[in-house]
Amino acid sequence: MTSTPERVQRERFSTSVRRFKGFWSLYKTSRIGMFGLSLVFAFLVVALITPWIAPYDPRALVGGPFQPPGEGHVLGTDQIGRDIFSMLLWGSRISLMVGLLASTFSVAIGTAIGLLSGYFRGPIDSILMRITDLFITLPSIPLMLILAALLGRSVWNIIFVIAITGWTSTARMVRSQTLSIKERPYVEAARSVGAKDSQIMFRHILPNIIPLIFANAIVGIVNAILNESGLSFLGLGDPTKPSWGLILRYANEVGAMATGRLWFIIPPGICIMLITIGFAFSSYSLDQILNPRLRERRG
Amino acid sequence: MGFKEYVGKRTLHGIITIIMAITLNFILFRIMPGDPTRAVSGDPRVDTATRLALIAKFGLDRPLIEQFALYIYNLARGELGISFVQIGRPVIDIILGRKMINTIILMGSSMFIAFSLGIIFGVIAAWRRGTKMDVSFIVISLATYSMPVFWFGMLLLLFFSYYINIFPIAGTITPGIVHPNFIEYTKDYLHHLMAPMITLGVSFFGGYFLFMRDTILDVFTEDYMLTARAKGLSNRKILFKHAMRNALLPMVSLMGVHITFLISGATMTETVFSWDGLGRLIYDSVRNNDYPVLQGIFLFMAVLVVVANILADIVNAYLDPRIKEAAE
Amino acid sequence: MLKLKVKSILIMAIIALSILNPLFMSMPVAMAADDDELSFEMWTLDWDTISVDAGDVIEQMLRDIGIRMKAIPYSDEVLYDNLDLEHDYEVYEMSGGYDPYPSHMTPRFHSNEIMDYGANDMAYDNPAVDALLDQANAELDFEDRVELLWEVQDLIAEDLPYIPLFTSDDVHAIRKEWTGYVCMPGGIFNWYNRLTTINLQHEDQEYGADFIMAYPSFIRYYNPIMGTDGRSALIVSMVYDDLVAYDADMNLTPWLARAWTVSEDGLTITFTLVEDAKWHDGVDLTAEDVKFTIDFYKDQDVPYDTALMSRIDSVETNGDYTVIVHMTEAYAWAINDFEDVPIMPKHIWEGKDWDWAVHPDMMPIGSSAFKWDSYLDGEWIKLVANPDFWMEDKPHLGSFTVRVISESSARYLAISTGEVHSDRYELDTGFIETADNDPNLAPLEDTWCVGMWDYYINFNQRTNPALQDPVVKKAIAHAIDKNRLVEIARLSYGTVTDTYITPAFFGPAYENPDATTYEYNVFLANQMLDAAGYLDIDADGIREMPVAAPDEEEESPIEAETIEELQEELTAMSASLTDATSQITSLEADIEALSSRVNSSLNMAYGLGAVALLVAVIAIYYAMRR
Repeated sequence: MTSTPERVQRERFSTSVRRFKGFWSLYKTSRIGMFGLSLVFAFLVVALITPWIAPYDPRALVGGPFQPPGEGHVLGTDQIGRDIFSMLLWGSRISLMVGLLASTFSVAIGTAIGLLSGYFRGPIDSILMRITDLFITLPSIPLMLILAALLGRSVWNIIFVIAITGWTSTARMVRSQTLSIKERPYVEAARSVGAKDSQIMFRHILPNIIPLIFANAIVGIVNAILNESGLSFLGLGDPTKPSWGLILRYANEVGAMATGRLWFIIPPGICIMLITIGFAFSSYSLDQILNPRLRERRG
Repeated sequence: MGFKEYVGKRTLHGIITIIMAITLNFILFRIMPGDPTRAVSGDPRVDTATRLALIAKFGLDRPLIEQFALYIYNLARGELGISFVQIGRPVIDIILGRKMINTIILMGSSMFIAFSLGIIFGVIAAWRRGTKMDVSFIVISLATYSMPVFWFGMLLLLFFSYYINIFPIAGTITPGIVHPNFIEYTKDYLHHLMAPMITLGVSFFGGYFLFMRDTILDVFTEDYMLTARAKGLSNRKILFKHAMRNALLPMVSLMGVHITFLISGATMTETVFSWDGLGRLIYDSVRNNDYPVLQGIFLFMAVLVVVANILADIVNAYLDPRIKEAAE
Repeated sequence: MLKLKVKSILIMAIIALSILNPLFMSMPVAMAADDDELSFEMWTLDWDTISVDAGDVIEQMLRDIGIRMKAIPYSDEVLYDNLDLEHDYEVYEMSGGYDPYPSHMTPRFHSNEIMDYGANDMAYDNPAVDALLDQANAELDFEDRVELLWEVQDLIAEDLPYIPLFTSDDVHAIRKEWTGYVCMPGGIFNWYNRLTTINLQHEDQEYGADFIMAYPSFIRYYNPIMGTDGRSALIVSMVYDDLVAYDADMNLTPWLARAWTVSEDGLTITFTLVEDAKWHDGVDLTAEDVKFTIDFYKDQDVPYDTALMSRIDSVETNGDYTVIVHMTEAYAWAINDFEDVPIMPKHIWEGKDWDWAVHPDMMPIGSSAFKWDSYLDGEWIKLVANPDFWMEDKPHLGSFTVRVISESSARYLAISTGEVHSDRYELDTGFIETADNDPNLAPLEDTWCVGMWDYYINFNQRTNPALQDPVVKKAIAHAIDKNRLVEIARLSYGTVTDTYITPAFFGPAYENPDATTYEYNVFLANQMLDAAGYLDIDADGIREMPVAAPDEEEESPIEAETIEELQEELTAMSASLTDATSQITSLEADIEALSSRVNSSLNMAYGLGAVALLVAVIAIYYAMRR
């Protein structure tokens, strides 16, 4: 295609900006959504400035064992004297990183499969859909356990494993959206002018489903963080990284519940909960906005 | 398409999926790093005579294709290999026994709780849309959904087993006691079931709740609701006769999808509560590198989920008047 | 318009950069192989919190001397698998466990024990040690034997195949309404502590009470020969009898054999059995069963109790209640080893394989104080008192139930609330404080015994060459503050062990004031490593392996005729060698520094690369929207 004049480019760009602004102003009205978003930002900020605010090296023995919260240790120490507050701070990086990366990868895989499947239909569609069915039916935690056992314990394996098991909902959504958008008039028009398949996919279909993909990604982050903490709790996470799930595993092993060492059990769980709530609330509001029927019902 | 055709097609899809699961199972455990026979017989814990027998039975010294054929053949006969940890015990015995029953009961009861809570709260929330009640329900359901299952279990243990002794701490029944009759046994079993069931059920009702609420609200804006109102039906009647019935349908197929999540949640719950089921078996087998048992469970779960999904879809199709009408 | 677009891309790039970069920085990208530096994987036992905690503490302590010891917990199946059969671990840290006499010395240090399922899993091979151990095993005089063992200890301490750390004290949680248990080194509940199980009783009910014990996991074997792990062994000891037992002072005492004599030369042992012993199915226990058991072990080459069985030539019976054992050589520990051999019923085991699974509906038939009543695989086992037990008025209990509670907190709570009455193993470190203050439990000083679990760091002599260098191991020994280790990992409920035979457990007779030990001295450790050439060249906190001197083995350049000339030549040669070595060392150091800088910038590049990728993707997306 010949390049379009600058004026049209400018219009297209400001349209997308306006669309984004439209989303944003809608999103702002949802209290739940804003609360969630602020939680997410809070954790992002904390994760970024951790090296500067963490009082101790999370792996170093800096206090007596099982010290309750008190001087020098805001949240006390664990069973051999590591500072729990520092471990929580550094753990936020793990959770965020795993959550973001795993979700990104799984959404990428799901989008690719959904797009190809929905656009080309026919045998490709059948095969890809059967594969998707297969992965849907495979329960994620057991599959993750098995893969983690086979591949070994490192953060990258965890990310890979979560991504591999989490792409199916995105794939299905993208496929159904692709199917419906494909039938729309402007796509027909584009095809009649001789546009290539890839151009249609990338310029017409994909931009319209980006918001939905984004919403899916946020939900994916929720699941990724929960799965990562679950795997760490079961002892399959990276033992050298102070993930929140690992802290809870320690707490369980040394009987923090039975011996009333609440500072060991409650804070890591609350951290997981808060970061997940942040993303979950955001995704709930996003869902509300993006689901056209719900949007029409405003008022 | 007609109902029968739908059933046929759906079942066919399911069978294909199961075949793929079987194949994936085969490949997964043969491509692991190291000795490819490890997964079946190569573990040092297996004594020589048994190893030779296994090699013969599964054809581990033959090319991959033949192995696959033998694998299918053995599968049909229910021969899944023997466990490395419980040396000598056939995998199929370990899986199809008490553990499977315990897990199914746990999953079934939790699903029932999640489903019921989801419906009840979903209906109330949709009914009182926009009110404080609605918002607080949404917040609660999102919050419980965000809680890690194992942490929720730990908290329950902390408060209701340690601080206040309502629930027992672990296991499926109180041990060493020979129950006089089946009623006593069941009572004891149910007492032990409470905490894990609540943990799993509450953790999952969020999804059902939101779905129910959205579906009911969707239904309220459908065209046929206008017709119903025009006919003079009260809101309440609309709710129960039309909205719920229509909302329940997609919930059923949602249940099918949720089975996979339930299995994942069950794994964690069983570990926290020492509930002797397949979830804990998975965890122990993974820790101990007991590959034959893992392969067996993998297959079992795949089949279970596929069957559940097929059933859910068929029930959905049966109840959904749209599909039924299309047949005529 | 251009300004807008550039601005938005810039904003996104900055956000992406700031998020991804620090996150990537915190991820150590796999560096060059750790074979070149003093970096090891130390395996710990994941369900044993003491092992895991001690491992973590040691990891931190060794950072002080530039050694990276990554503590990684593994399950016992995987760990024992490797120790028994695969042999390719680098280091592990966990407890071995003592027998009532220093029987561990031979299995752990004799080169004959380097085999599959052998206890010398580190492949320690020292002929001098072998010779001394053989001598000690044949030495029937106690004091002479102790002297020999001291020599062995010092020899081993030079090579340090493993570093003894501490024994964990056995403080038990047991509900206060139970009495009759006996404290022996090793704990009140142990497979060689038979006194507890037959004397245990409820304070309000002298006979017939039901005792429930919590287990962390189910027993491994129903087979009495294979059931040597702690969980299975307790059950085996309650169901099966041995010829002898131990009293509270760890002296041998009669059991199934009410008397025994050993000939002067040690080659003939005669056991006289009790006469009213019966098997749980009613059949009488006679000398035939004892003979059958010993023959069974020998004929089938059972890989357990080999030290004893390989020294037995033949067994004969003299009447129904006398057994005569003919040894091939004098064996100092013969009677002690018999304590470990469960006497098995001939009428059941005849014709079976030694590793017969004995599973699961086959109620194992023994002759001792308790018999199998019922079980639920994976969950519980119930033993009931044997009314026909040959010892009068014993046992006091009516039944003994073992219940599996896998979560340690749940186990502790179960004891506290009375659902179970005690635990198989000593209190986990985390619970000691709480148990001390718990009114439902017997006071801890009543249940305190010297523990049998000796924790050590074991170096596999096969895998990493650095672990064969005594300097490295001695430096590690100097760098570990064992007192602090016990304080942290065991809250001081432990005893530091400096020697391979602990007097605290085996008795003051074994105390050797002149034994070679390694005191805590980080400065010395660092010096030793520096002097031996382990330097931290790339300044990453971990010492690298020393650079080897060039080989000069092709032909001997020595042309000297006399000793003096030889000495001069050697001095000259070593001087030039040292020059060459130091030149090469500095060259290598430069290369190392360069490569490490490349590595860390690789890290940086990795992070920036990802950012660049993201920015590129976004840019392309926007470009294509035109």
